[in-house]
Amino acid sequence: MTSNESPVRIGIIGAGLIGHRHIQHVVEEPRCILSGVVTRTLKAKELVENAGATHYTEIDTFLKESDAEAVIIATPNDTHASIGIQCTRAGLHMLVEKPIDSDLKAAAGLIEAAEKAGVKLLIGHHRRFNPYIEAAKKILDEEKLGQIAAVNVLWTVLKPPSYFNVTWRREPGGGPILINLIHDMDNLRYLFGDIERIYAESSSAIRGFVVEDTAVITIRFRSGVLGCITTSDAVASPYNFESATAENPLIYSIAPDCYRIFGTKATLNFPEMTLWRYTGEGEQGWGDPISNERIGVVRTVPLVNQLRHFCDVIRHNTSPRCSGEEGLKTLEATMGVIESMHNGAPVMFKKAH
Amino acid sequence: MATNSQKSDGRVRLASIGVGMIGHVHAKIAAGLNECEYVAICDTDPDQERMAQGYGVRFYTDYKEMIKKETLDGVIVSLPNELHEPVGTACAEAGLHIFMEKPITSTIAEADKLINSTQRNNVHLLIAHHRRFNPMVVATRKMIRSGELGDLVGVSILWCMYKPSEYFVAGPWRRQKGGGPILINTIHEIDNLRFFYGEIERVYAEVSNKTRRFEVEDTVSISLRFTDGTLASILMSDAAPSLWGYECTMGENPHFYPTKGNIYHFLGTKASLTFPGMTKVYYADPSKAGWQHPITREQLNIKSADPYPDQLKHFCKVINGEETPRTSGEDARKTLIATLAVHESGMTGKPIQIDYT
Ligand SMILES: NC(=O)c1ccc[n+]([C@@H]2O[C@H](COP(=O)([O-])OP(=O)(O)OC[C@H]3O[C@@H](n4cnc5c(N)ncnc54)[C@H](O)[C@@H]3O)[C@@H](O)[C@H]2O)c1
Repeated sequence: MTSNESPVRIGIIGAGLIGHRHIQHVVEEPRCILSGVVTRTLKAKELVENAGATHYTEIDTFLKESDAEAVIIATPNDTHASIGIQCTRAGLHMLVEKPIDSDLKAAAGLIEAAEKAGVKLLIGHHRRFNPYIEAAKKILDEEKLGQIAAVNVLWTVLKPPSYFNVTWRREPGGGPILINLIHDMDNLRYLFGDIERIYAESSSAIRGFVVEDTAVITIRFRSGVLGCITTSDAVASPYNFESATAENPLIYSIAPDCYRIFGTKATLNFPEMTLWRYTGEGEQGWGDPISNERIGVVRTVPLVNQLRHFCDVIRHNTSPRCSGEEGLKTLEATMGVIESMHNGAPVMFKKAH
Repeated sequence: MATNSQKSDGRVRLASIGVGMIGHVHAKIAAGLNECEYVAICDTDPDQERMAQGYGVRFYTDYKEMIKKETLDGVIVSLPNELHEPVGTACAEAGLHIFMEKPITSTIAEADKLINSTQRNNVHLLIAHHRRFNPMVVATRKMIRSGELGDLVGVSILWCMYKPSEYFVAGPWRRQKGGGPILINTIHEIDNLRFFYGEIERVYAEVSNKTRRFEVEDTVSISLRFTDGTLASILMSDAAPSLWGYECTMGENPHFYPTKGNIYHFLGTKASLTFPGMTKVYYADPSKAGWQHPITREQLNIKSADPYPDQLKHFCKVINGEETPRTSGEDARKTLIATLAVHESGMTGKPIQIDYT
């Protein structure tokens, strides 16, 4: 940050589980100040008051009275676009929690409104700020793997029965694809670009709920890279991003791997971050010794990195790492998985909007 | 069964047809095996006579002449795929039991013809899906089928290795239609899945040749459904240097550099298993099962071993009527059908419902 930069005045709308984490980070981050929080029940009352911020119960009042120049929207998914559009009218820059919305049309409306109002829109796919993903992105950009051929993803966990006491998690709209796999979908899109076609097989045989508990997914990226995902929330397994990167303190970690990225020059085992490649002379292949190099990663907090980036977007005109368009495409791709598994046919995606 | 010429000591009389890359492996084992008397080798390549001399067996360049002149119980056939049916059928008609390299044949019609002819002539047909003889594969199958992992929910399979260019120079057919990693390599993974667990109902595949730019694919991503709804995925590439490929990681064949990588993840409601790392992961206390709880890792002590000698011993026992073929013609035909379905899906961009009839 430049020393004469004035801190970004941020309001937070929706203080649930993730909203409270945003409050904490905004308060602690010197590059911004918390100007207000809009929420019905505020658990972190003291924290907010000590920060000199105001607690509102209504968005309208906040928009009228607050001096915020930017907001973080962390309300339920289906309200993101409508609240966002309200904020564009007040000329506020936005960090909208992922997914951009639960509805594709509404999401497109938000993107348009933000453009018209000339405000910045960043979607909170915070894994793009995860240090392991950042490192993987750098390795790919530097072409250390050569040409990418394929990527394999495991997101497999056991959700305990109590998780399903909440009705919506057993019904359409819930389920591990829209709730969890959307993160991996965004990671994949961030690393490998736009998706051309998706096919998914799913099963709900284990729990017998309406929503899937297991799916396998075949992806063709526009670049020609092929992807392969195995996901289940009904298996005794630690092979998933959260456990592998120890990103979520609520999920027990034994640090196994979850992604493997295959290139013509090398393979990356993620997030162990080992690069495997031939170092011998001349033509190499499956009969030759293969050696590894470990890429060091410094652990940082994704939400904090994201917040600083949000400040850069506002103060320095940095382009958003996950724009509205990007957030929309990730939502589209994730919904494409659901569509394919219901129709039993592959889903094609149109070229850029 | 065909009249056996075996001696009273129970040793069966065997000969090889085709002693190229894989045929040589079988010849070497047969020459040293107590269970059989190895009598002859046939190969159209006259240079292979030296191999026959080395093992002290007679040499032929015409298999028809060999099966007419020699008194045999069974033959080991390791020929290019398109010869499997005609040579196999001729041997069946001569009343010989057949140990046939995989795939059973190149097409389903050929498989039907060969199977029919072995049935008509009352001879056994054993297809060389040799992985079924690796003790680690057998133990894993037992674990899965016994319910030790709970219900099997999903399987993730990786087969990514870098084929050197000499592989494509030595066998130009490998870059053309009929070659390619689906028909050459995926077939093993499909057979493993069927052996481990059960019948495949539907497949979908994306294929790409963007890396090597050959006529055939170099990379394949497959989604697959078993008849009971269990799901599996397979990711294959023969253009990626990696640890994760059966041949490299299982050490069955010294031709491949040995690596340590888990190529299979078996995911069950009670436990998951990595293969060939053989780490079983589970929640030790069922009342504390779920993503927020510690998960227990248990290292199983199950080792891989060379499957080829056991496979050939099994063939001898099959001939003697002591065992039934571990991979019968019908069984291998199903593996071929599912593999061809993967290929068809890749070509058409459509999921393929598998019809085994
Ligand atoms: N189970 C396995 O792991 C495995 C591995 C490799 C190959 N295979 C299978 O084994 C078979 C052979 O493959 P390969 O790689 O050994 O091929 P190869 O080309 O190395 O060997 C084939 C041999 O057959 C001989 N031959 C050709 N036509 C003949 C004829 N009419 N009569 C007698 N001999 C003839 C050739 O001279 C050659 O020696 C194929 O079906 C292949 O799919 C299986």
